Amino acid sequence: MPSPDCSLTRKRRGVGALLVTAIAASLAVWQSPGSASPAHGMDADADTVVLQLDTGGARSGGLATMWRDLQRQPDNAGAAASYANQALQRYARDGDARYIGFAQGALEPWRDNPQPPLAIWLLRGRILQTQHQFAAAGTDLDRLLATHRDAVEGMLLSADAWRRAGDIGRARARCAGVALAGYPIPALHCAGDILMSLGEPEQAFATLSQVHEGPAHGPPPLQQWMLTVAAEAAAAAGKVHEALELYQRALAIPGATIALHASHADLLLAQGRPKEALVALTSAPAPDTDALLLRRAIAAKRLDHADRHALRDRLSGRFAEAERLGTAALHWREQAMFALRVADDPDTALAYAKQNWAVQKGPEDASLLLEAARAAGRPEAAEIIYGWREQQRQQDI
Amino acid sequence: MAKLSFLFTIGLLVLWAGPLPVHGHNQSSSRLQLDIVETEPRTLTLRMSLLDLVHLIDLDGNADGKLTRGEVTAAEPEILKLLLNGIVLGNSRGHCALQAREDAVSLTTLEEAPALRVVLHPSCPEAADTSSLHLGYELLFQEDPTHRALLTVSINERKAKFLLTSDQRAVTLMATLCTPALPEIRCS
Repeated sequence: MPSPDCSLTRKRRGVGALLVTAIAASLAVWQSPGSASPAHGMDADADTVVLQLDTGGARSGGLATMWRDLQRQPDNAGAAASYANQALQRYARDGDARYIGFAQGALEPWRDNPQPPLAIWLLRGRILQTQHQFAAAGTDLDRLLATHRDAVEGMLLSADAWRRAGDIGRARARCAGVALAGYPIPALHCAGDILMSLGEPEQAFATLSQVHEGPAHGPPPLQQWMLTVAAEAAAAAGKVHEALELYQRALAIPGATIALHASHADLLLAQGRPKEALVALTSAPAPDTDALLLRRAIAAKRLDHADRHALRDRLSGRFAEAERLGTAALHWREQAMFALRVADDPDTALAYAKQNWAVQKGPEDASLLLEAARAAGRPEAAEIIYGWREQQRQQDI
Repeated sequence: MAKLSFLFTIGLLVLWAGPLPVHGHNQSSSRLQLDIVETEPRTLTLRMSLLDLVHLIDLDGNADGKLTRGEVTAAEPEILKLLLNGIVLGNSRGHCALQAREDAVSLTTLEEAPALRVVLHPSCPEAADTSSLHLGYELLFQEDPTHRALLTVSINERKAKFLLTSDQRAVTLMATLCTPALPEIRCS
């Protein structure tokens, strides 16, 4: 097993060549809550099941039961954190955003608390990040780190929030903190994400590929995240075979998130393999969630599949509903992808991609803006990406 | 290893799923439809996802993790009590009585998911100023501060929409209804 340098940037190699052995596999096992696949019927009789409830958590009824228990002790930070954690796991697995809201509801007693208990604080930052309030999440998590200097989870979350907010300097500092705290492998992946954001996936993959040549490290969700980062780096670096292998390893770990399924499908679609993408998406645990439905629509269009119009119309309906509910800003990336790859409307795609770029600056957001600008015949519209990247590199110097 | 165990002692494994792409999504939401004929509210219809409703009421009577139609039917009195405590319709003279007739509760769909549909019949105090009609909505905001209710007011074949959020839990319908286009609304 190699113990590579923590190559946070091209300019700052070797922040910490720390031992990989700190990551052990004897940790808690990821446990997904039960599913709640709806099976409804207007004419059902009394015994017909209209909803399969989530049975995760302490007792039958899962989250709902946990919530009712929490109502009897709403200021119990442990119970609130446990409930919010379950809700966020459910969101990561099913893509149903009502669970972000439920998690937020449990944390309401600490909404404005400047120093809540650590678990509550981490979850509060995680929720802000999920709601695309990246700078707010980074700021809150940095306050956490000022109090809890060894909170590695906070460092990773803060790094991700600042990276998406477009502040690479702060993101890099948090990744370095992870390395210095004794976690070089997660730190490398944290840095890999940054390199991809800066348009340097080859360097990211060169580093991460060494890590994944050996046995897996850490608990399953951590492995899954790291494999996904490595797979995305490989895909962006044009190492398709390696990327697919990394995705397969990530998907083989129980509890695959919606984001992982979507990322895997993106590679298959980019490689002109829509049939495989459609099969993979349809067999995913929650194929009707927005992110996966969108990719199914893209695949169906490319295959001239019989469902292509129905999938397109379902997505259109969801976007229209989000507009009516005032939540459209959370869908700008998907709206851009839809306009570009399903509706053949590059001008609209470019408008959404620019709006999305103003909010989040991940590598996938940059790629989308570049593609939309080219398709719209306005390549200059993507120059903001190069300008931003150069600015971030200059700040590094 | 000591540090490593610190990472996970608080049990927030979901955080490892955090640094993955964040994708778009819809929040929990319900739909309200208020139908007004002339100046009189005739029906107020609510649609709410069963996934949201089970958070408000323990509908799974036998605790087997499966919600049946029979369990929903058995819980109708509790459902109606909850809804009537969470929705207020009124005018300048006071609150409207919201009556649930037989078969008020039925199953439907909302955003492609199973949902409950409840039809209520308002009976409002007679008011000189019919534009004072207002609606308050308090359901689910405690459980989900991002919850939204989309209210559609249908009056004499015209429609107006209002969005109710945790920051905007009540609307007075005057702003939309009190226009020259709707002379039947008596405005103060």
